[in-house]
Amino acid sequence: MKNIINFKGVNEGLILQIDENADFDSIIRALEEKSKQHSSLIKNANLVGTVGKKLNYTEKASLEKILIEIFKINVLTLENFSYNKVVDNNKVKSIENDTVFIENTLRSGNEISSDGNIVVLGDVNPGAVLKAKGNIIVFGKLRGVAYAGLNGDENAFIAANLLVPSQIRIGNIISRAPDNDGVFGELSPEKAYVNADRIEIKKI
Amino acid sequence: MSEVIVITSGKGGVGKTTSTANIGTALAKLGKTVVVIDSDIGLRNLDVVLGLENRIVFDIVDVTSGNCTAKKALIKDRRLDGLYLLPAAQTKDKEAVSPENMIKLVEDLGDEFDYILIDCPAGIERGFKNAIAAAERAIVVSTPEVSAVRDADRIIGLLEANDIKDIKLVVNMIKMQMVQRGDMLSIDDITDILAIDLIGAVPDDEAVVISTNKGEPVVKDESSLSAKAFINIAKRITGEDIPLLDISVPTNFMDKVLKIFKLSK
Repeated sequence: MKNIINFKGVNEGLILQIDENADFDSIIRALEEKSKQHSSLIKNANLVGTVGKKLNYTEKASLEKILIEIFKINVLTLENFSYNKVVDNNKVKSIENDTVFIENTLRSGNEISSDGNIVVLGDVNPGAVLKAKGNIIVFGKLRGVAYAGLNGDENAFIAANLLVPSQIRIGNIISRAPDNDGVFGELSPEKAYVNADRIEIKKI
Repeated sequence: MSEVIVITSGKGGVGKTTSTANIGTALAKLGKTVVVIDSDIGLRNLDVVLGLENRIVFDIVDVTSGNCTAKKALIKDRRLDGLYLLPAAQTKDKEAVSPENMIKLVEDLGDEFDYILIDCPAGIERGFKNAIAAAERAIVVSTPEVSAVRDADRIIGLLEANDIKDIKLVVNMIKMQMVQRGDMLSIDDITDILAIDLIGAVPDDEAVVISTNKGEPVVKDESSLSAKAFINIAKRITGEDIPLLDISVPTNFMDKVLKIFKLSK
């Protein structure tokens, strides 16, 4: 027989799946049946919504009472749970279009260009070049050349876990590393941005 | 007209780039105006050896493709007034530049420089052809190894075939102790095979490694033997006639004492 009710885990917590065609009495019976099986597994979990059958106000009230008293679940809401609320498809698409993700170390001679942002999960070695119309973020050591705000956007920024680029440009402002700065310190995330026509660096 | 000299070798790792950086620096120290051009597109190093890597804005491909003028792309050395670098591009390859481009580039640099030194990449393909296209003189760098000498011989043949008649030899990384023991080719052995004029002999010197890693050519501090050798090469390029440097090393205690008092050969 098909389950009338079912608990399902999502990123946010638990949701309660309810058979669309079940009447409220059978739902209650199914819940009591369920409580005998594995209530301890879902004890203290957060219930973030329901899917399936729509419940009216009184049904919700009695369902909430059962869930709290018998199952010991924290009921946050019994409203219909929407997957789309959490994962906005349009937003995902725009991020994919605008940001270039690099998941390896960039070596001398590599050049990455982007009409949006660049995110590197790895190091950028001397001789490698990043060119972005938007921002640049390096989860690693930035030792190469980085140009952000390629169209002249001075609101762009460049951030890295270790920010020791041989040269950076933000908008039309260029800055280079001091000469003979061969000693690299501990990893300390920093961000370079433009303030009053100068590139400044601050800890993140 | 500025004198255009290509520094080449055929074989890699014999010290073309180090020689270019040091001869260029030494010429500038002698009061000459010098442009050093890195023609090793895709594997550029001259900027690193000169300690100018973080100043690169335009490179040789920007010039040949018309993005900027040759003079605008030059990077002024941070120590010497008369020394300029035209860096290679790192994200392109040798095909990005043609021999005709190089001739035009050198023409565009004009007459205001005394010397234009072109650092040639290893090999005899496009990079080599680009590097020699605009040159009227050549310096061939070799080490005292049969393989380097063999490649140098081939290079000399190719230079002559391209109407470059003024070819001089630099023997680099000489280990005098080994030569004196008879374990390494001597300068005479090499000039005997190559049959071109020697313009300098540079000893194998730790000071070169130390200075190269710091991005400072070894001739900056004139105390080391290799620095003296490079300065002598620069002087000979300008036409001075000076004797070859004594780079022999004392082998026993008496020799050491004699050498200190300049009594040894």
